[in-house]
Amino acid sequence: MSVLNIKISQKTKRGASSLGFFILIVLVILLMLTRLNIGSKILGSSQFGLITTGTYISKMFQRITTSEDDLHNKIEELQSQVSDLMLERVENVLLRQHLNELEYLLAYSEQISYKSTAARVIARSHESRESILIDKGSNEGIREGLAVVIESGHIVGVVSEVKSFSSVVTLISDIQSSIPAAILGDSKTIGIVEGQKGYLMKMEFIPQGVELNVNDVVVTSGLDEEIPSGFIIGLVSEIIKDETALFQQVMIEALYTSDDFLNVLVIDPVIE
Amino acid sequence: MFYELSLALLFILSILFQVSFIDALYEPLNAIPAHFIIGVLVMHRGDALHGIAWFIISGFALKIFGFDSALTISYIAVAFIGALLATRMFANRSVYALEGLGILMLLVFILVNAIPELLNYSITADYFYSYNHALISVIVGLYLGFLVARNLEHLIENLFLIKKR
Repeated sequence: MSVLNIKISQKTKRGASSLGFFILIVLVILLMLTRLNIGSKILGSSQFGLITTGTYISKMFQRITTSEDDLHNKIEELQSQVSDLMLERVENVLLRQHLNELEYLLAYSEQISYKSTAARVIARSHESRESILIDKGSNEGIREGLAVVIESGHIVGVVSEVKSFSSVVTLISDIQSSIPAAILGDSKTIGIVEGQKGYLMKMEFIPQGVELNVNDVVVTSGLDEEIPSGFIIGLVSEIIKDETALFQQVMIEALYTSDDFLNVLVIDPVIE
Repeated sequence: MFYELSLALLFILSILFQVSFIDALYEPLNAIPAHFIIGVLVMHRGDALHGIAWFIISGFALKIFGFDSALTISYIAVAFIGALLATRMFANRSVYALEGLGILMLLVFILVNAIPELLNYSITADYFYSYNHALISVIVGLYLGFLVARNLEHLIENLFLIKKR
């Protein structure tokens, strides 16, 4: 009986020490990966590698499962966009000449540029929240509220949570996202763009008298001091007008989804 | 020591694989709970104590490395109920016991996670529908995991000349 007791107690002791050792190793690795600079770099690189592979496979899967009709519709849509762009190009040439002159004048008066930090997407939320995790945090000067854009100047989200070596970015299509914006149509209309369930965003409380058109460009208005003006949010895709209502609302389609980019720029409007 | 070290590395790698690779996949592939499946395998084929630690630490670690909307309390509940089921009800090391354990653990996880919505009367059928793919993945994943684990155990027994009882 006593031999049995000794055996059981030895087994329990061994089990407890094995468990303790397992927990210790896990905690040490977790601390190394989240607190040490080199650990966070290894973590960031491995997560970036995995998310790149995952995104590539996801795109392949998406391409296989997209129906032929969808592709035809997409081609027609793109063709009409190309013809619109051709017209815009002519306008752009004339405008660019004007802009060059203004730029020279502006350069004399003040030289303002935003501080930008390049970051990589290392995780993506697919649940109710539309968010991404980037590999730069408070150690690189990232703080809450800063705009996150992709290289072509399209705003994709706002930094909503900052850790030492990583940050959470709430995408503009997220239901909790709201960004001061302006519609560049016949007149400049200012409002708040809010995310909602699904792919589109909405802008409410636009007075009935304002003339809006589908495909008007929506940009950031600059009313939020952390988000500079002029970053493209998307295009007006639908105008909801009710004659009996005081206001009209528009649905906005973003030009990029979170699957379309893996590198972002965090814009800090601090004057350098 | 080798076992604990391998288990710890498996834990970290499976978390990174879950939050960065699987979550980036297109629906319904992003519903595969790979880290959860490996945890159930550890609970059943390995030691229940390690299984408890696996799920409890997961509740915190998944939130550090990525996005996980599940409640930490659901992981803690799954850890203890899973250990109880693994030692009392599904102690048999067959694939049926493993599948039973995995399905019950997932159901506990889903139910505990639904408590806030249940209390607010805001739960809809869509909530449970969203776990359909996870349930199928757990059934398939555990079967494949069982085959891998059994072959791995045989390989280790032959490699290190471990005598069978």
